[in-house]
Amino acid sequence: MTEKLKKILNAGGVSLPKRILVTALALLIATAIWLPLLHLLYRPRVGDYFAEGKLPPRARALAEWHLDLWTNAERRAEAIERMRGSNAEWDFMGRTFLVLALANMSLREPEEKDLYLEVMDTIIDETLRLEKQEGMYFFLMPYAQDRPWVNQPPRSLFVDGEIALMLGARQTVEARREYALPLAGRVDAIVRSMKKSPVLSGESYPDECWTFCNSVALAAIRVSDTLDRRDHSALVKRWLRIARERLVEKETGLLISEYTTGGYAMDGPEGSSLWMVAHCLSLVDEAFARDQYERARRELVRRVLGFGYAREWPPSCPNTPDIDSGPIVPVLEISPGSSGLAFLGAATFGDTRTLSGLLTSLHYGGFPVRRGDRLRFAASNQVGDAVLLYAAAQGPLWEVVRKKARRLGWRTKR
Amino acid sequence: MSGTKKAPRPPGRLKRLLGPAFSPRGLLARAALITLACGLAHLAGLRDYTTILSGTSPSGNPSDVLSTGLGTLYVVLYLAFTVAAPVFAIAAGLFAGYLAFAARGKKPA
Repeated sequence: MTEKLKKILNAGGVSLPKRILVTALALLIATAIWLPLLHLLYRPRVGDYFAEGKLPPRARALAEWHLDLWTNAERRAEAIERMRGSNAEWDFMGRTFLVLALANMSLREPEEKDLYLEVMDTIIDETLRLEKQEGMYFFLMPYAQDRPWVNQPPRSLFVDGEIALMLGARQTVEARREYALPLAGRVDAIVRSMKKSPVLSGESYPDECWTFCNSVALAAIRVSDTLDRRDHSALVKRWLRIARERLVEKETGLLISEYTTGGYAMDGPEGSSLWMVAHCLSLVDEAFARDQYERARRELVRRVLGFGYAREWPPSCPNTPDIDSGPIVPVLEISPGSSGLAFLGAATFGDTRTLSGLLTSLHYGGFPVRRGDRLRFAASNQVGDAVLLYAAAQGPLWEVVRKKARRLGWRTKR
Repeated sequence: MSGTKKAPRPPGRLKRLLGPAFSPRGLLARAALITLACGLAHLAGLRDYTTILSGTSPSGNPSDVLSTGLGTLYVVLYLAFTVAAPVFAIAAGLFAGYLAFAARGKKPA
């Protein structure tokens, strides 16, 4: 190294105050150069996850991780135990989202259908067995047993709705005789539970109704109706009318997340509910669902230096973090729960710009882990990755159900 | 008081390696140090502990402080590696460029 270069590198002959000043200025300029460029290193092509037809490569790699998990009992038990330590609901929802993803993948890739159906059946059978063996509380948070349920005997719409949707998705891909009665029975239980409430909403927890669970239930009813040709369209219409009148937060026009069986709001709008609500409602009232999505996007989606994320609450309806929002990043108000499910909302409504921002953040702060042909995100968990996979795969199942519903005369408003 | 000044202690190995704090070399050395620390954390498998970001405990026990600490450490080092280290490196280049430019204007002694 020449003396001149050494002198420059050590800032030789420059007084300390001047060195401090120049360092500070250099750091300031470097920050201004680097921060706006950072996102470019992490921005994947949206088409690597979201595309028509066969699953794109990165979504395929995510699917491979899930398929491996469900064919490897030891790894699966480990992943599920980790989640159950925080929230038993995640174990259950991870199953639902994966079954829904596999149903869509079966329709996208008919040549792989047998494998996907086998995994779907394994998940459904194990879920039904666990529910029968341990009771519905196995998939609920402990506070479900803290107070009495309003409707007796107790039933959770959270559990009934998602099981019905799993069964309905499986039957839409290919009917299996053993699942026909359980599906019809589950839908009957859902309808009974909803009809007991003045706001036509079933309890998920004691005197606690969720728009998330009720939207899932409505989607399950619609899927089931297209299979067994029963007609619950009047109930669906009434629910939508009541929701518009009583379950919408005035300032934002967004559906609230949680309310009593009598229809009294317990929480305002929440991202971790809204994205799934919009996705499910798009099956029964596309115009209303799109309106909810657009409002949620305006209120919740943010983009900073090329990184996209979703807040849990609109600025006008602040709340405190909980198990659904996940740990909130202060100042920016980034919610992992809302951001993860925002993929599903954005994919449902073809919002490529939002998807691109969210994917950039996911590749930066989600800590992708590639092992061979498999992909998972270390910062996530099985349910988070299943949501992402479902967001990437969704589309064909809803389209099949919509077509059948149109043929049967139940129009979804466009 | 003896009236004699103590001779300054020679800088330690780490200090010699890092160079003067406010210099291009100092900035580059700090960027390298961050990169090394993040690389070691990665090799030690701490990336998996970042599942704490989704509210999931890596060990299945939400009150496991060690796992939470390791996950947090990885996130901090990763942020430092992706934000601070490149900023230090760019700043080092800018600083060195400024000094080289300033030296050109001076007449040799």
